[in-house]
Amino acid sequence: MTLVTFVLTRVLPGSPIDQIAGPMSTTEQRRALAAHYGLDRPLWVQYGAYIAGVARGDFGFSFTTSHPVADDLGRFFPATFELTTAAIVAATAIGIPLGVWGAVRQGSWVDHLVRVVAVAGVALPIFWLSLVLIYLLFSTWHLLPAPMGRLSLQSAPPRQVTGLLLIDSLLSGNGPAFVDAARHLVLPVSVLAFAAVAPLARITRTSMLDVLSSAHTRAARALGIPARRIVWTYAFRNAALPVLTMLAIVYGYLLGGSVLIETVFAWPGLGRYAFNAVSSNDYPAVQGFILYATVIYVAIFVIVDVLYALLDPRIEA
Amino acid sequence: MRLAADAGPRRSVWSGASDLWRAHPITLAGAAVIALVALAGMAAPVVAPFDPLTVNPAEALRPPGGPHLMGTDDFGQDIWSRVLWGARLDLEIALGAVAVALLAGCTLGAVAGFWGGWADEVVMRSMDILQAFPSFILAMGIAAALGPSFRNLVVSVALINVAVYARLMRARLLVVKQALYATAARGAGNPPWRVLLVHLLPNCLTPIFVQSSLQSGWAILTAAGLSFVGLGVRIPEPEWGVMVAMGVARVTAGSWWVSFYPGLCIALVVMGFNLVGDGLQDLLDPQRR
Amino acid sequence: MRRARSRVGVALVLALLVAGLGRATPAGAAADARQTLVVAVSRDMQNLDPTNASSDSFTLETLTNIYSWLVDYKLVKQSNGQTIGAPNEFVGNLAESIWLADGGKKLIVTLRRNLKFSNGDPLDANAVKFTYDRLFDQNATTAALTKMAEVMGKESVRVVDDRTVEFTIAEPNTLLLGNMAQYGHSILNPNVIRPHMTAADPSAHEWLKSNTKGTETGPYLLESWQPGVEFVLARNPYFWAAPPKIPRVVLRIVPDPSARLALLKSGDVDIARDLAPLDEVEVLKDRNVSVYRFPTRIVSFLGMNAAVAPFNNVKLRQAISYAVPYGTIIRSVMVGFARPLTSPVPSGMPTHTDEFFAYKTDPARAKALLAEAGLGNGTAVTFTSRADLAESKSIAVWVKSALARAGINVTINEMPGAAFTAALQKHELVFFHHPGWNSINNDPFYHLFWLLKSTCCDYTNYHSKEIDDLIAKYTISTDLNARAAASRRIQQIATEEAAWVFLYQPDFVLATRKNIDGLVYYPADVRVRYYYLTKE
Repeated sequence: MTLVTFVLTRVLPGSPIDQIAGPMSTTEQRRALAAHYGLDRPLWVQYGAYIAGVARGDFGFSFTTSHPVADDLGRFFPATFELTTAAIVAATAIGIPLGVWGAVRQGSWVDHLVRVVAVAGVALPIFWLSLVLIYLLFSTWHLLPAPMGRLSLQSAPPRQVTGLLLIDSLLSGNGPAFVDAARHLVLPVSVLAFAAVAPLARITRTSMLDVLSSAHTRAARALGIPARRIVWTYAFRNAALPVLTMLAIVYGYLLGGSVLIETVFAWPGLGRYAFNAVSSNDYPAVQGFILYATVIYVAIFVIVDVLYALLDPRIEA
Repeated sequence: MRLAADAGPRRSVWSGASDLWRAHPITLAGAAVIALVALAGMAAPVVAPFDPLTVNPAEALRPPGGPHLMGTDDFGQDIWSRVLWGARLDLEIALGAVAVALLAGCTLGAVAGFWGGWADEVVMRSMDILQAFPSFILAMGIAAALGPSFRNLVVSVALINVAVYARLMRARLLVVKQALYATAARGAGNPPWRVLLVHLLPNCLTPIFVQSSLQSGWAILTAAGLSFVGLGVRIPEPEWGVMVAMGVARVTAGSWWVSFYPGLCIALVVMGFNLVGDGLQDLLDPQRR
Repeated sequence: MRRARSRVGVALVLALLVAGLGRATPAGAAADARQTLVVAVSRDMQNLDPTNASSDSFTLETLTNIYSWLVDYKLVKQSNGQTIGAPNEFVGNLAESIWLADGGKKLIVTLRRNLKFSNGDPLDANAVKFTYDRLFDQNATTAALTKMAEVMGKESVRVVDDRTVEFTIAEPNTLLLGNMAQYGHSILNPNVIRPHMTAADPSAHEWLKSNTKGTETGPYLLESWQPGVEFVLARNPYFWAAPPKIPRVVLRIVPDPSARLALLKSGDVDIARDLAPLDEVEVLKDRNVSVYRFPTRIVSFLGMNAAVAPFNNVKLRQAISYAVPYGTIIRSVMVGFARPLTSPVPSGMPTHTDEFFAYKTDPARAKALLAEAGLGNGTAVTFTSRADLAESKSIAVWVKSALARAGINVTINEMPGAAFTAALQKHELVFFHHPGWNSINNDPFYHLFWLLKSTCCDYTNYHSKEIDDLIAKYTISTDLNARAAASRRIQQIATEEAAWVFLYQPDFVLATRKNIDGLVYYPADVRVRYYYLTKE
C-alpha cells in the first residue's frame, strides 16, 4: 500500500521544489533544496528511508506547513472526527428509523417520501447546499454563528484533553464553550448528516424489506405476535448486518474528511489538509494522509467483523 | 395442450402501463427524468436558442427572463443553452465512465471468481488497495497526472468505480458457479470459457444493472467535483460541474442563477438514476415481487 | 419508554442551543473588540525563514509585520491626504543614520540606541553581522538580491563598533537601498538562532521555518500559529518606536471567498482579504464597509514562449496583441479594478513610458498580421490557465473567443496550481496568463533584469541582444540620464516586438469595516502593515 502511494505521488506532475523555492531562486539553490529534502536520491532509496521513518513514527515534514506530518495529522484529526461522528450519530438517529418506517409501510406515501428524501441527500451538491444554508441561517436570519471554524474568536478554547471540543468543554465544566462549539457544529453536521442519511435509509429499507418478506416473518405474523415486536425484535435484528456494513463504509468515507464542507465552513480538518497537500505536491503530507485513511478503513472493517461475530450467532467468533 | 392458463380478458397497453405506474410511481418518475434529460441533450443542437460558447460581454450576468430563460453567466453565455448542451456532455461522461468501469470490473471479477486461486488473490488485493484510497483524492491524482480532457475525465471516474463491479461480479459468480446448471453445462462437455460466457454471466447481470444505475449518478457527481477543482472538462465546454464551479462565487454576490440551474440539473439527474436503480432492485429481485 | 427518554434528550439539547442564541457577549466585550483586529485570510502561512521564505502572500505579510530591517521606505503624505511608504525614498528603520561614503562604495549604518529583540536581548552591530553572515552562507534568494546590489559576501560586511556596521559596495549603484528594504534583511537574534544551527542545517532553516520566538524586531510578534486555523500577532513590548494602535491582530483562515465576504458584511471580521473583483464591487454598496483602492506596479501579462513555434514569430505575437480584448478583460474580469499595462515597465515605476504602445483590439489588423506571419486562418494554439485562479479562467475564455475572430483557434488547458508553477519555472508554458509580478525594488532595471533577462524569471524566453546588452550595461550604472534613455529604448523594443501581451496592472483593494482607518499604503511591496491601523 505504501509502495503504491509512494509511486502515485511521484507520478503527479510538478515538483514540490518549485513550490518551496521562490520564483527568484537559482538552479544551485533548487539543487540544494532537493538534496536537503532527499529528493535527488534514487526512488528506491527514498522509499526505504520513508518506510524506516514510518516504522519509527516519523512521517516526515510537510513541505507546505513546515510542521511534522504526524503532528499535522494529530492536529487536524479531532476536528474531522468530531464533525464526522456527530454527523453519523445524527444520520443514524434519523436514517434508520426512516428506513424501517418506509419498509414497514411499503408502497405508501411514507415509503415514497423516504425514497425521495434519501435520494435527495445524495443528489444535492453539498457545497451548494452549504452556501445556501449559510446565506439563510447566518447572513439573513442571524440564527447561527459565522462560518469561521469550530469556535468563535471570543471563546477561550477549553483545556485540551481529547481535542474534541464538545467533550473537552464538558470535562472542564466550560458551559459557554460547549454551547459555542455545539452551535458551530450545527450547520456542517446538518449538511453532512443529510448526505449520510441517504445511503443509510436506503439500505435499511432494502434490508428490512428482504427480512419482512421472508418465511420466518410470515410465520411470526401467523403466530399472532404483535407487529411492533416483529419489526423491532425479529426483523430489525436480522436486517441489521448490511446496515452495519453500510454504516461502517459511510463512516470510514467521511473520516477521510470532506474537503468541500471543510472549505466552506473553514473547518480545520483532514479533508482540506489532504486537498492542499495534493494541490501542492506535498509528498510527505499526501503519503501520510493516505496511510491514515487506509488504517482507518482497515480498523473500521475489523470492528465491523468483530461486531458481525457478536451479533450473528451463526458466525463462529 | 395449453401449459399456461389464459391470463384472462385482454388488457390494453394503457391499462397495463397505468398498473405499472401505480405500482412503481417513483421509479417511473426517475426513468422519466433520465429520458427527458437524454432527449434534451440529443435535441440541444436544434432546441438551444443560443450557441453555448458565444461570449457576449454586454449581456453578462443577466437574471432569468426575456430572451435568456435561465439568465446569463459572467461571459454573457446563455445558461439555458449551456444546460441543454451540458446534458449531452454529462450523460456521455456518466455512461462512458460506467461502461468502462463495468467492462473492466466485470472482467476482473469474472476472472477472480471463476478461476479462483492466485488470480483471485491478486485481483482482490488490487481492488482492496483501490478501494482503500480516499476516492476523491485518487480521482484528483489520476486527473492531475493524465491532464484535463474529456477522455481522461472518463478514465479517472471509471477507475474509482471499477472495484465495486469487480466485487459484485466475483460474489455472484462464486454463488452461481456452484449451481446445478453450471455443473450440468460442464458435464455436457462445454469448455470452461463457454460455460462462463454463455451460462454463468447472464445470471450475474441483475445486480450489475442495478449497480450501474446508481454508479451513473455517482459518476456525474464525481465529474462535477473534479470540474469544481479544475480537473474536469476543458473550459469553456458546457459541463454542469464546471458551470456550478464558476457560478458558486456569485451566489452571495446576488447572481444565484449561474450555479443554481446546473446544480439543479445535476441533482435531478442523479436523483433520477438513483430512483431507477432502487426501482430496478425492487423489480428484479424475485423475492420482493 | 425509550422514545420518551430520547425526546427529553432532544428537548434538552434544543434548550441549550436556544439558550446560546445570540452572540456571546462577556463583560467588557466592546472594549476588548477595539483591542483586536480580526482579519479573514484565504490561506495559511508556509515557511517563515526570512532569507528563504515561501513566496505566498501571508507568509511575506507576517514577516513584514514582525521583523524590522535597517532601512525602510519613507512615509510621505500625498496631495490627496493618503500617506504612503514612498517606494524610492529611504530612511533608517533600525538604523538611526545611513550614509554613503567613498563615492558610493561604502554604506555606513549606525543603529539606534537601546534596540532590543522581542526577548529583551540587545540588538547591536554583532547581530547585524551575524544576520548578514548567515544570509550569505545560506546563499538563497536574499543573497542573490544582495549580490545584485553589489554587496558581494561576508567580507563586505564589517563591524565598526557597537552600533555601526560598514557595507562595502563593489560598484556604486542605485539598487542598494531598494534591495535592502525588505524582509530578507530582517535582523536576527544570534542568541536565539545559533543554538539551532547544526551541521546538517547550518542556517537553522528548519527552526526558522515555523518559529520566530525571541528574534522578532517589528511592532508585532507572532504570538501563536495554529496551522490551518489562525495565526495571531501581538504587540512586541520591545519595539523601538511607539506601540501599534491595535495591540492584537488575529488572522483567521477562511478558505472560501463567499464565506469571507459574508463575514465582512456581518461584521464578524474587520478586514476580508483576497475578495474576488465582483465581490469588491458588491461591498462598495455596503454602508458599513470601506473599500480602499490603490494603484500598483504589478504587471499582469500573457506570456508567449519565444522559444516555441509559432510564438517565435514576431508577427504572430503582434497579431495576437491586436486580437486580445483589452477593455473587456479590464471591465469584466477585473471589474475596473485595474489599469491598462502599456509597457514592460509599469506605470508608477521611474522611466515608464506608454508612447510605444500602439496595440488595441482590432481583429482585421490581427488577421492581416497573421497573414504576414505566413500563418493562415485556423492556426491552432493551446492556452494554459491556472485551475485555481478565477481570473485566469475568465481571461482564458475571453482570449479564446477574441482570437477566434482573428482566425486563431485556441484550446484551453487548465493546470492545477502546483503543475502550473512547475511548468512556469521550467519555462515550458507556451501561451499562458501570468497573474502578476511585483518588483519589490521600484527600479526599472531591477524589474527588466528579472523579467526579460534572468534565467529564472524570463518565463517567456524572450531575448533580444540589444536589450540584454543594455541591461548588462546599465543595471549597476549611476548615470541617471543614460539609464533613462536605455530604459526607454528597452521599452520600445519589447513593446514593438510584443515580448508579452501587455494586459493590466491590478489595483490593490482592501475591504474593511467602516470603523477601520489609518491605512498606510506601501506601493513597493503592496503589503499591509497593521501597525498604522486604528479601530473605533
